[in-house]
Formats: sequence, C-alpha cells, structure tokens
Amino acid sequence: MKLNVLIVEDDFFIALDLEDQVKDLGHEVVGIARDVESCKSAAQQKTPDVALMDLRLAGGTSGIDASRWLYDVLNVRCIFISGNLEDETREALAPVRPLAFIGKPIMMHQLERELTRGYAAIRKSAGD
Amino acid sequence: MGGDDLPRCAQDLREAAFDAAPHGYLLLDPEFTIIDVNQCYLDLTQTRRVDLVGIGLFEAFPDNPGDPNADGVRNLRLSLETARATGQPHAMAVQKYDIPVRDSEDGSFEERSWKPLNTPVIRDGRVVALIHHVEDVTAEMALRRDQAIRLRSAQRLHDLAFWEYDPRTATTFISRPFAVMQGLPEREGTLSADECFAPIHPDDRATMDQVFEEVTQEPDHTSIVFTHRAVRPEGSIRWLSSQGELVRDHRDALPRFLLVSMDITETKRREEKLAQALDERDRLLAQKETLLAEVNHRIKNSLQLVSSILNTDARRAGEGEVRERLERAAARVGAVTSVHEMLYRSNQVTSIAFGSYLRELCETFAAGDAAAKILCDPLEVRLPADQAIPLALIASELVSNAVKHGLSDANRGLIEVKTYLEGTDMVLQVTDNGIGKRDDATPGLGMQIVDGLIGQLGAKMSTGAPASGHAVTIRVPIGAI
Repeated sequence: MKLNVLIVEDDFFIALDLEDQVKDLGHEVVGIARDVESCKSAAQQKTPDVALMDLRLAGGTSGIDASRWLYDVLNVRCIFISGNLEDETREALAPVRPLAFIGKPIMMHQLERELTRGYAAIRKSAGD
Repeated sequence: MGGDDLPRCAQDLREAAFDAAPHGYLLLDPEFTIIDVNQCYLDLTQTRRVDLVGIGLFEAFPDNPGDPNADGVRNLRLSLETARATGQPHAMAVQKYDIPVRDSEDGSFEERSWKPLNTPVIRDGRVVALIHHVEDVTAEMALRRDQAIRLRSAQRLHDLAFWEYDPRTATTFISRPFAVMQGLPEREGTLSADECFAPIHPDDRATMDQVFEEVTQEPDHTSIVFTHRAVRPEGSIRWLSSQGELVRDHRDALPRFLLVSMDITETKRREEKLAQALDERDRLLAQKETLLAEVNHRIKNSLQLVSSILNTDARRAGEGEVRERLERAAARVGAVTSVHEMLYRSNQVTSIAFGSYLRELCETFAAGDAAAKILCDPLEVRLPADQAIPLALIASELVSNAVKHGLSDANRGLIEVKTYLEGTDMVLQVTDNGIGKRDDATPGLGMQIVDGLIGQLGAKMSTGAPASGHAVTIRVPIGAI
C-alpha cells in the first residue's frame, strides 16, 4: 500500500519532519501547503488520498476551512495534527469525517498507525 | 304603673347617679350659665362647685391668655349654639382647651385636650337646658402625637413613604413622599389606582396585582411584600420595595391594604455593580485559564518545531554517532514536548497525569524497537509541571538506556517501568533483563543528565543488578498529594 499524502502545515520545519516521516513509512508526499489557497492549488494539481492537516495555518487561515474544501470538492479526508481539540472544534470538523487526530510531539509510530487505518478506511469507502 | 315612691326614689337616685357618672357633665341653661356640675367634671377640671354654679361657662373656663392660638371658647360656643338651634346633639372634634390651675397664684393654665358632646334638654319642644359632656383625652392625644412624631421621624430616617390601596373601589390614598417616590405630581390625598399605578413598569404591575389578588381571602394583618420599578416621566427608573398589611373595615368586606414603600434604587444599583464585578472576575479568571492554555499550546508548538529540526537533521546525518546523538536530542526535546502537550490537553494547566505520560513513553519506545517488550505499571498521580518535566526526562533517558544497552545482545528483551508510592516518596524503577552494565563503563551524557536532574529534584538514585540485567531506582520526594 502506498498513499499519496498532502501535507498542510505552515511551519517549514514541522512540514519537513512530516515529509521525512511519511516517506520513511513508504508513502508519497504529493505536496506541501502552508495555507488554504496553496492547499487548494496543490490538491488540484494532484489529488491526494489523504491530507495531514494542521489546524492553524499561515495568514490566519484555518485548517477547518481547508479540510472542508478538500472534502466537499475532492472527497479527500484528513488526519488532523492536533491533539487537544475542544468539543466545538470537533463538532465543526464532524462533517468532513476526520480519519484521526494526532497530538504533538508527532510520533512516528502514531503516524504509521493512523496512515494504515486511513488507508483501510479509504479502501473501504472506495469499494462501497 | 306608678306609685309615688318610685319617682321620688328615682329622683334621689338620679341625683346620686349624676354625681357618680364616670364622665364629666355640666348642666347649662340656654344662655350657657352653669346650673349644675357633677363630681367627675370637678375632678377632671380640678375646680370647685362654688366656683362654677351660677357662673357663665366661658367666664368659668376662658381661653388660655398665654396661648395666642386658643380657639376653644369659639368652638365650644359654636357647638352649643348649634345644639340649641337644632335641638340635636352636637359632637365636637377633639379640642385643645386649657384649664386654669386651681389655687395657682400666677393664674397659670394647664394644657388639656377634650372630646366634648353637647346635648340639648328639650321640654315642650323647647331647649330648656344643655348637657355639656366632656371626656379628657389629653393622655390619648399626647400618645397619638408621640406616635405621629415617631412615625414621621422613622419615615424621614429610612426614606419611607406611606400609602393605602383599596382594590374594591380602585382607589389609593397616597402620602407626599410616596407621590415623590412613584414619580407622581407631589401631593397628598386620594388618587385613582390607575393614576397611582401608571408609572409602574409593566412587568412589575402584573406581579404586584397578583400579590394583592393572592391574599384577598386571607385574614386581617396578613402581610404582603413586593418590589416594583417606577418609571419616572423623564425615563429614569427607581426601584421601590413595599411592605404592607391587609385590613378589613367589616368582617365580610373586601380588604384594604396599608402600605409603606422604600426607595431601594441605590441598593439595587450596588447589587447590579457587584453582580457585574463578579461576572467580570469570572470572565477574567476564564481568560487567565485560556491564556495559560494558549501559552502551553505555543510552547508545545515551539518544542515540536525543535523536535522536527533535530529529527530532520538526524535523518540526514547518515548512520553513525552523529545521527544517534541527534536522535537522542530529539527524544529529550520530545519528552518535554509531551509534558507540555499534556498540560495543554487537560483542564489542569499546572499539573499533569504522570501515569499517562509514562504509558505514552513506553508505547513510543515499544513501537520504535520491535525487539523490546516493555511492561508499564505506573501509579496514577498528578505532578506539578516543575517536577513532571525533569522526571519525564529521567524516565526517557532510563528507558532509552535500557533499550540501547540492556537489550543490545538479548533476543527477547523485557523492560519493566513502574512507579509506586513509599511514604511521601514516589519511586520510579526501570529494570531490564539484558546484559547488565559494565562496571568500567564511562557514564554517557544520558546518565549525566539523569544525575543532574536527580539533584534538581532532591531525589536519590540506586542501581542494582537483579538476577540478570540491570535496575535503576529513583526515589523522588513529592510531598503530600
């Protein structure tokens, strides 16, 4: 199994770290975006299987908006890089059917586990 | 009927009865000259019969020359003349009519109040005499005056205003202070309930009506309490608190209410300000919590950034010591990051559940090294951040060492991480079944860090070799928890 992963993270070093980890786990990184606009253009160039999504993006934009666009337009679901979410945020995110939430520090084994689960979930819904 | 004895006997008794009567009587001829006087009247006025009989009433009892407002003579004369002219009894209002002090040498007067009744004696259709009956109400009047003073003083002292309400006739009787409180034109007297209640805030009018309605069938003296807002003509609002009692003029009559109101606007304002201050305090406290959580969140993000920098460096370093050192550095930063993540995640912004931390730590190491089996048996305990961070680093170093050295030759390594309480100490123990520690091994940076942090925590460390492998025990004083 190999997933095409879009990384949406405004911090360069964290994005780089995530890219390394995703590659080490044998997946493909199809793009790195740091705000809602660059997320849209990257996803349009090559539609990812899954996005790793930070909630706070550059320019005061929100991962919630980016994840909505990905889900509504491209039917792409996200693994959110944020451990602590208030109930309101969870409710706001429910419509985009999050695959998982991973807290910081980002642990490789957690990322691996969630990508594997995400892969299974995507396969299942594709088969439906 | 009859016989001559009875009338004579009655005649005698009549005279005796006149003298024994409990009220004072004067018998006057139509020209107001005193014909007779009974004992009670003499006692009341402290006069002697010889000084009164045959003398004109107003000669015997002139106005007090020392009182320029004295009008007793005029009033009494008018009343007597009325009774004489109409042939009907005439009751006078209470009169202030001072009487001369008997035997006084300077002709001084004594202040008295009287309730007089003048009754004509009619014979053959003509008024032949007048009975002047007086009741001394001086004491009663003094009491009433004192009470009125007390009431007025209390009213002024507490800013109280009296009023009455008769729901049956929809009429109120208001005092001047109440008119002012209610924002009505300043006056005293009767007023229709509609006019009187017009300034009442609509929300409070219904409540007030209900208060009156509810007690209508209750017994006399049932008390009522309510509060209402009066909207002044210029739009400002006053708060009035009212207390009252129910009274009935007849047993079956609908009740009236005697009420007293107090302006409590200032109290209300203070209450509102206090409530606002309390809300503001709660809001600031909540804001403080939010800010602390925000700070923890930012620290966590910055630490994640540092972790990421070290990780990416490590991956690019290639196999060897540099990579290993960078990975260890990343793990150390990761330990601190985890504590901040937990501070941010829980509602407690200053302490963390250390048991949860240890479980996550073990999980991470287990995932990173397939050869190691890690048993984790932590104590569920909350530790303050300044203890949790060094302890997290110590635990990270010890487990990392156990994985690196303890298991390097073992095929099926087992590491045990546990914490438990001993008195006020928390004991952290990391045991492995590996190759054990060489006695001549030079301590690495990891153990230097552990030593330093143990000093920082005021903890004690002991190492030992179990049957096989290596054990490290850390004893941390954590005080009462």
